[in-house]
Amino acid sequence: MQRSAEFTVHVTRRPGALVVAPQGEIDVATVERVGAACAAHERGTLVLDLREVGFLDSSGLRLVLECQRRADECGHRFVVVRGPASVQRLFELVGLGHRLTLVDEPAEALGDADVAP
Amino acid sequence: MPTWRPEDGGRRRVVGLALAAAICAALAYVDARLPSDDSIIATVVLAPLVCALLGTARDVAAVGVVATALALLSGVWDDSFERAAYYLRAGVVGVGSLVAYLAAALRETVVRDRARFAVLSGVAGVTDGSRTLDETAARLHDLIVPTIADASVLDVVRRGEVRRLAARVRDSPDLEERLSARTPSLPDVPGSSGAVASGDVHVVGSVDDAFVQRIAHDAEDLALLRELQMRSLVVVPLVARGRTLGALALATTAQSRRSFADDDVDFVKVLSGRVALALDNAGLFSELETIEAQLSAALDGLAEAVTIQHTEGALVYANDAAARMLGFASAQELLSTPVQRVIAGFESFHEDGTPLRVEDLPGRRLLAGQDAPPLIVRAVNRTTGDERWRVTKSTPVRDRDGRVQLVVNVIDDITDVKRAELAQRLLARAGAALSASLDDKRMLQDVAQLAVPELADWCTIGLPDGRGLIRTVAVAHVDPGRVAFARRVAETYPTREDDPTGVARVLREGASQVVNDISDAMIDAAARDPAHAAMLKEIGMRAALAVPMVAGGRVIGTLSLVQAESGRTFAPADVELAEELARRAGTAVENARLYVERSRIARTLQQGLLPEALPDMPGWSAQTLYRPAGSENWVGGDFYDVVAVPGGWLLIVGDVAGHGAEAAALTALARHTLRSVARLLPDPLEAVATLNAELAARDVLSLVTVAAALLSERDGRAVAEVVCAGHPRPLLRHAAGIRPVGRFGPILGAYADERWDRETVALAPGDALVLYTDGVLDTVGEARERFGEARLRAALDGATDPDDAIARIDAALQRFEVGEQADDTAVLAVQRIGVPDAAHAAIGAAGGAAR
Repeated sequence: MQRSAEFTVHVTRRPGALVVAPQGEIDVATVERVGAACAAHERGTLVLDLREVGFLDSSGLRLVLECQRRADECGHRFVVVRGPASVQRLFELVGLGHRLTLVDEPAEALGDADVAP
Repeated sequence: MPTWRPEDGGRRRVVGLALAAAICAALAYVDARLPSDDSIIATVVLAPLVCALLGTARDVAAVGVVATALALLSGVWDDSFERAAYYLRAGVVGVGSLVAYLAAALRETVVRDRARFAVLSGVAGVTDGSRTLDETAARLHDLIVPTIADASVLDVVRRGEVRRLAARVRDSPDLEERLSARTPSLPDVPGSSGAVASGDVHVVGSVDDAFVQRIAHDAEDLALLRELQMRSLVVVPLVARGRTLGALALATTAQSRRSFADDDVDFVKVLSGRVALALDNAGLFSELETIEAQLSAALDGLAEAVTIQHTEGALVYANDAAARMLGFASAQELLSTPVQRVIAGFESFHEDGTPLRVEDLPGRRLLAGQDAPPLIVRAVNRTTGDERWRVTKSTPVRDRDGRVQLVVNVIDDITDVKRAELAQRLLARAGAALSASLDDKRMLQDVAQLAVPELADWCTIGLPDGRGLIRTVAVAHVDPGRVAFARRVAETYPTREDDPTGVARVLREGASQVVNDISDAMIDAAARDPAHAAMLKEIGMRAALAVPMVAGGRVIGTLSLVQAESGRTFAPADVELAEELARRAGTAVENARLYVERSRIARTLQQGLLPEALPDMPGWSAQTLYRPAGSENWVGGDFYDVVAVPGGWLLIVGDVAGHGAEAAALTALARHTLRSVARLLPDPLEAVATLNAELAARDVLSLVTVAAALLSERDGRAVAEVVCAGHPRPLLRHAAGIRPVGRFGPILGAYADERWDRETVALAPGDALVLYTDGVLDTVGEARERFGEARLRAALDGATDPDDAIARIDAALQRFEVGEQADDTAVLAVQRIGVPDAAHAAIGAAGGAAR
């Protein structure tokens, strides 16, 4: 699909954390790729970095909620790095803002010196 | 003085000597008895003369000396020493003896020369022949022994070493055998190796035991050489065309008591040249023979069939592969069969199916002076029905003038390649045909059509009709007239599922059946009645194959192939291909059926998810837009509903994440939960909260977003209570403009402990409320821009009524959208049109409650 051509998912393994940083728009066409990247998480903290995500639709929302539910069930941390205002707004619209662990930088999520840029 | 003599037989010599002795004795006796005046002693000269005719010069000399002595002694008994006649007689005898000796010597030379000439011309004759090296050696020895020597040895240089080729020993097979096996003499002694190495002629005029000891390899060899009793030995190198081929060793033995002299050596040198030539030719010939044998062995070993054709077209060579290919037990059998008969054993076609003519064969074309590109031929063995594909490449062998002398044909059996190619093409085409349609009868007819004539002359496909008959749903043959005939047969005599054999059995047992030699008796046995048999015979079946069409482990039909006019039979590869074809056809039929079934289910399901039509809403006008994304089997996604509730109407627009059966089930759950709750308690908050509790209790994350609006009358004014659960807020179009209504609330299904708020707005006549899903806002346009709320507002602006509003939104979306629609879109627009009369309201409310 040509729409997903501009879409990439960067996955970084940190000590004790997996950082998934999609770049582009998350919608029905691309959400599976983000989902697959997140599914690779096994232990420690899962960080979904939305800073480079320009758009998130209901399917993306569902993914975030699925990640959160899995984190709740398995007892690991799930942290969302805040995306642009348009993306953040959606979380508020659907009443999820207070349900998620939201941070501004991945480093905050990891809390370790070694992840400083 | 030459001591070597041609062998002319000792008996003759003995006779000569005996006669001479007899003559001498008789004359001497008679002469002594005669009166002294009468002497006949001069006639004693007859003795040497007679001896000269029969004996050797040496014999004659001896006899001459005796005769002369007798003549001189005759003076004793004749008492004639003083007489002139005595001296005259003695002189006559002496001179006569001398003459006899000279004559004998001359005769000896002539005989020897004649013998030598005979040997030389004999050797020349050997040169002309086309014998092997061994045959040549034997023939040379025949000529040399015993005429020239008593023992002869031929050694040849092979791969740089001097090896014994053959030996001959006069009158002694035992010595000959041992000498033949003897390792040639070493190079440092007179012998073959030395002669070959130096190019010199070795002459040993008198062989003594010291010499024999010198050349012997070991004690055993010494014994052999001593037994041989050599007297003299000549070893001469054999040189032909500047190349030393070997050496010829000739020996005289005690048996003949001959010895070689100088002029013998000269002759042997001349002889060696001829012998060398003979061996060279024989060597060449045997080399050629070796090459031919190797070539023949190589050709015989080739997997490709090779034949060589003479200018008249007759085969002069064929290898085993060619014989096998053409159905012969051996190359010999093939070569002894007339070409016409060989050709007639096959029905041959060009690649395009046109019959092959003999003159089309590349070999024939070359012989006719035409060009001959490789030719691909399909040949059906008339006897066995075996079909083979062959490619024939022909190369001409031309003489110096460029005329074609022979044609070499290399014939490759490419049946496997062709079959694979055919199979691949057939299956690819079948794949296309099978996916082109959902109509299984048409699909199967297309597949049957593909199988003829490449795979078979006939192809039929049968499907059980569920009433005990196997319906022939597809028939294919190149000739439409024949197809019509076959259909008539199938209609007149339909196959029954309980028939004991044939298609019915394949359908029952799921195993392929192949019959490669159909006889009239078999047809009679299978036919229902004589008329049926006659019809079947008219088809002219030679071979039949029926394979099961399997889908999902179940035999759903049969595919049958019949060979008739082509005379072909079915090879195991054909059966495999037919089975594969049937398997694919079966799967396709099943898939088509499933697809049709699924489409029907999907349509039914989707219809169940949306109201068939909006209810009549007194005081309100409503319209909807529903644009599902994806194909018709794409169930689930957005939904909307208008539910009559006590005192009003509940409008619902929702979005279920995902598609397919799960989403459809979720949609149904959401819709019916909302409906049920709202009918009992017309409160949108309650409806939403109940649904959330339901969804959150599910094991699977079940997310639904909903915008709900409860329309009711309060004090004669219309109000709308709007609740949003994770859903875009509905738009209100009123006199002041367009604005969203409702408060953002949490999505349904994520967390059980959530709460929502409502916003209540009054709707004046003409005001409109538009509920929609995020599919509208998220519609993608140029440069990945999203449709967004602003465009939705713009589309709504100026709309006169819900129909108009929906039309405008639809048009705007279609204008904006680029590419395939990604998500469902649903829009529900309602407009307040006035105060309904009480009766209508009551009916609406009652009707809603009753549902």
